[in-house]
Amino acid sequence: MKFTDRYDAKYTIWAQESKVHPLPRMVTFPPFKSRKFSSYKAFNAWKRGLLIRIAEQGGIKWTK
Amino acid sequence: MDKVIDRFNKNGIRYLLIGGQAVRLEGMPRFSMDWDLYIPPRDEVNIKKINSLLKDELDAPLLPLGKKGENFVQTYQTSQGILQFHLGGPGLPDFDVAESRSVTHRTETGTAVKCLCGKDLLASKRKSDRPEDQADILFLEKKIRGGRA
Repeated sequence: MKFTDRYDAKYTIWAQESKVHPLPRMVTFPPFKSRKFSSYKAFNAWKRGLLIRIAEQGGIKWTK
Repeated sequence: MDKVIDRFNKNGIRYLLIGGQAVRLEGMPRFSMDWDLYIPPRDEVNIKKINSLLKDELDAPLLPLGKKGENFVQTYQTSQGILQFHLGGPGLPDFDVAESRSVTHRTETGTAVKCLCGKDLLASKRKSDRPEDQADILFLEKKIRGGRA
């Protein structure tokens, strides 16, 4: 089996390259007001809700 | 977000990039919809400076950590993207310790960003241990094993 046939080969290659890949920009993110949380549990629950809202609106549009 | 980071750097703001964007700057080609910044939780001078620098971006002031853990995570939608301030977090060392071990990476456009070091980033990812952290953990383990973080 070749090295590149391993499922985790991509991680090894990325770790060796250490190249920063450009981040696409989101152009249709649903607006929200600032929020403050006392715990990660509450924060993660809010974030899950936000992701559901994004899914319900049909996802997000991207640009380079 | 480069503009915000650049202003922080020029004004001596104490921050460390953590989370998915920090993993991305280590070299993992991944997406993250937000920028997570770890800041000293009760450094009121630092927090006041951040509020002043971002007065046109924040719809409510950033606050220090409360006695009962209030304001542990504060999230904002800004013109530069989603900005999340963490005043602590699972697996994160005290800010002063994390800051002393921090590393500087550059974004794809060349902006210098102070980041949690690879080992601390891996520890925080392991502690969070969410399904979405598993790829980051595998990548960081390989990077650290190869002596590149």
